Amino acid sequence: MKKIFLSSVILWLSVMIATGQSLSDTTINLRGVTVTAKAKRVDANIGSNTTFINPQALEATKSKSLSELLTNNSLIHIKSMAQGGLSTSSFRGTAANHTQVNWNGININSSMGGSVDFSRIPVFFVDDVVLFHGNGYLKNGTGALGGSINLGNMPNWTNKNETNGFVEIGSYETYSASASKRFTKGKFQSNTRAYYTQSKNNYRYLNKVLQVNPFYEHRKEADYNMGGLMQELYYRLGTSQMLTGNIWFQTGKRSLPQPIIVVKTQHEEDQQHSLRATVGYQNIGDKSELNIRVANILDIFNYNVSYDDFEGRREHNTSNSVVLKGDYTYMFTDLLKVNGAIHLRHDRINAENYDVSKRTRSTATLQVGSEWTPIAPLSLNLSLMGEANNHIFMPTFSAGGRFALIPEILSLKASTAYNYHYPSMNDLYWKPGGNPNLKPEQGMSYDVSLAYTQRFSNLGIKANASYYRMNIENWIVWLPTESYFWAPQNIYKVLSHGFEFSAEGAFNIKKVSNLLLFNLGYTLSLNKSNPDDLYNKTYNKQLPYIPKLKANAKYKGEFRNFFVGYTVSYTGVRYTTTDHSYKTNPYTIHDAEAGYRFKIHKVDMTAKLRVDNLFNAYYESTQYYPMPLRSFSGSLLIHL
Amino acid sequence: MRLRQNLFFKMKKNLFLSVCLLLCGLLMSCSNDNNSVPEIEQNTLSRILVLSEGNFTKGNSDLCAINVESGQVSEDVFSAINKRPLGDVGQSLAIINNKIYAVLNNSAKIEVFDADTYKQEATILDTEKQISPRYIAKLSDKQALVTNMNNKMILINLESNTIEKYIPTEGATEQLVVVGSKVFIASGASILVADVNNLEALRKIEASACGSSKLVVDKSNKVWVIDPKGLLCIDPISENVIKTIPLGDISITSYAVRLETDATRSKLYFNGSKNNTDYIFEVAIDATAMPTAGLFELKKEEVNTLYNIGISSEGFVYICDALDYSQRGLLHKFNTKGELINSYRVGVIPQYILFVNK
Repeated sequence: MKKIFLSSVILWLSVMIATGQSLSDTTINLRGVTVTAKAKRVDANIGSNTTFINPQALEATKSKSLSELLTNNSLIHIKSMAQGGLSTSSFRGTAANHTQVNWNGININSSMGGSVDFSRIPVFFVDDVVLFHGNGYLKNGTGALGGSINLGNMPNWTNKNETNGFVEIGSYETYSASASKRFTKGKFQSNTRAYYTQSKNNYRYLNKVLQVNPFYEHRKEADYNMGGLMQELYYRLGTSQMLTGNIWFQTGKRSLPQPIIVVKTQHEEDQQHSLRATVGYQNIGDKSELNIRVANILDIFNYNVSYDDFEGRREHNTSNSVVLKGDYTYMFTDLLKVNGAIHLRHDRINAENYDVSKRTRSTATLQVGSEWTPIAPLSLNLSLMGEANNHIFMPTFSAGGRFALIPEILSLKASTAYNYHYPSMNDLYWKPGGNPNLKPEQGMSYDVSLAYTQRFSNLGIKANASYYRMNIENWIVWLPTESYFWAPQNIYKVLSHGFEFSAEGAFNIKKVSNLLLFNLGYTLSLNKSNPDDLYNKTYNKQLPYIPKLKANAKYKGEFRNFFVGYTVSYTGVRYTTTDHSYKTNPYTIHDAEAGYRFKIHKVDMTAKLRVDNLFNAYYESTQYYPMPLRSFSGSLLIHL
Repeated sequence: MRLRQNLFFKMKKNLFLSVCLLLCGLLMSCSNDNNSVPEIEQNTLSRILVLSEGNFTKGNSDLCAINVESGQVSEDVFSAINKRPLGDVGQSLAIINNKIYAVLNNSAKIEVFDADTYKQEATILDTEKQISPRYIAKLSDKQALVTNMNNKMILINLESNTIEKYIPTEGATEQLVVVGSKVFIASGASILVADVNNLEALRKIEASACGSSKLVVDKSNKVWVIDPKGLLCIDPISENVIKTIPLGDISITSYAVRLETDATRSKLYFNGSKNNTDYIFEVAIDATAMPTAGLFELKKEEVNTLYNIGISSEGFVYICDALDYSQRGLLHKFNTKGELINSYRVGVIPQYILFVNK
């Protein structure tokens, strides 16, 4: 039945999408500041590292989730329980809920757990992914101890009417399809996107851990499906003002497989439904810019567990958040801009798993900032922020500077910031274990970067090298208690410091255009708690599941209508206990793709074949959760 | 001039390509860390085997062996020898016919390996039935019985190391002990009794063993359990409770209390608290009341998280300490005066102690 339904969807998409042009830009494509209107904004991350995910990387993973995109194209470590499974982040050696994710300026981290499951965000639904490294970018609010990720949708007044879509069939009965339609009439623009994927996900692997003799088995109960619908509306009021409206409905259901060292004794499944809606007003004047946005974020989580021999249970939790944001920037001169912002948020949780079924949290944030250029090569930024969170007040700040060593080519950046992260609602109220006496995690960070960008006639290079250091106090860890359930405590002091290097190079050799992307990160995220405890063997040890070394490289080459892509990513050893007694192996994974662009009746099409895990490596992102071995997919992309 | 520009561009491009190739080479040359194999004493000396439970679903349960003479700890002997993890949530172990039978609760299996070399021999599991095994006891040279949280005990064939059959029970079954031709099994609020040759005919005794506490056999072959009411003595012949030593002002936590006996099987040991202070208590089997004082105090700076206790043949009190549950725990060795003699670093959440006297 599902196959028939999917075939119908694919057929419908094929018919609906008629003509168009190539999706990928075949020219040299180095990301830079392209929106002049944004120049009025105060660069609140002036002294730190900001990564714009390359549009070609976005294009190459359009059928995947943000989990795959970030794994292969950024320095963020994604801890995954295999495709379709829970995927959480570690940014600069911090925990999953220390990465704040904003969609069009609105935070979409779970109000309950505080983290984001990146497997549930289709790349097809974002136009722009920007990573703000470190905790200094206060524009994204508090809590981003490791960094923040901005996902953006934007109007396109150049291609006023366009249709995009793809269908993809992959190994393990994986099917994906999507379509989008942009429509413009006068000052009004609408963009509608739909996405659906499903997989039986029953890949085969060699189980070497369960019994005396290794044996092949198929992954059981790992199937998933995910679908979404997004509607964007834009209306230009004159030349400087615009109204925007975005609605994003996302739904997904998946079975939760057990680690392969466990003989499955239960059947687990989770479902998540999200409805995110936001309305915004933007006014960009000669000397000022005003942005106002209101939003409502509704998340519904259902968890079911059943057993063959006895009764299971169902859990139903709902969170609803209302957000109001206002942001105003005034440019006194070309050398001085000031900015003020207000952010109000009210979270309401209706949770069966809480001590009291209804819990609320109100947050009010006031922020002021400025960007000042006292002398030509030097720009400075200072941001101050105060936040009241259920009547607990926390102040913070960030300060940074950029000095152009060689104007437009080489600059030195430095920043410092103080930031904090409130305990999540689960930390406070989960039953059993929730600890209402938890204090916010907080810490100082320091950051220095060298940024290089240069264009030659046929070559463009962009590189960034950063060193960062942050001390975080009151780090929250869930630990078993004497009552045999787990509870969060403000246990750790953590020193996280490390080195980041990223580079992009685009060049042409005869008629072949080439793009190379490279990221290398070395992170020491060290537990600095209880140095005097003789029994404690965790002092100065790397935190669990944070690799010290992560690197990835991508090559994309295009010749006429052909293109090839190759990605290699390395993830270093990850310790699974706090004293380094146990660890999971490092891995290097190679992916390759090749495609051909062609035109049928004015419809631009791209046929693409992709091989993931080319060398058939057995690897685990989360220990005893095997990732798929070599897998294939074929897709057809259409642009009209 | 144009030539120089082209040359400059080519040099730049070559330099860029070289750097990229170098970085890619570095990336691809990264290899796995060398997994050094710890030195394992494969001997027949007296040892203390400590099974660690490990973290739930993390698969880091393993066995540590402590040489009684030298105090040397061989960590994770199963995985070191067999190059695979022991399993998830190690619950208990027993030596039967010179083989170690390690019961892995959440892996739903029993690993069988040589008691001297630790070399794996068999894995007993049933992937079709849901089992949650807890404890094992030898019934004969050919059979062993395994208790199970899922309302059916498991009869193991020791010759083939396979599951012979399941014996239904009304509830979960926990610790068990064989006395003569009978097996006594803790099950909720009852102690079940069966003849080893007729396991289906289960009888009930109105007594309960708290949590995972042991059923202890004294020198008179009486069975002792620690019940919320106190220490209960069961006559295995009449299958009745023949004596109760009330707890008095001693308080115990039902899931955390542990019961042991010494080599002479004339004394009982358990952990509890009195006046908000934690102690190890020692009770003679012929006592009629609890002692007025504990054997020794459990100081927080010495024992962080008591997880199990064991009494060696020399009379030392060994205590499993899970610390913060997230790192390797400790096995503390105390004398009966409460003096800490030594602490051994063992596995994550040390769960079960087995003394191997040679």
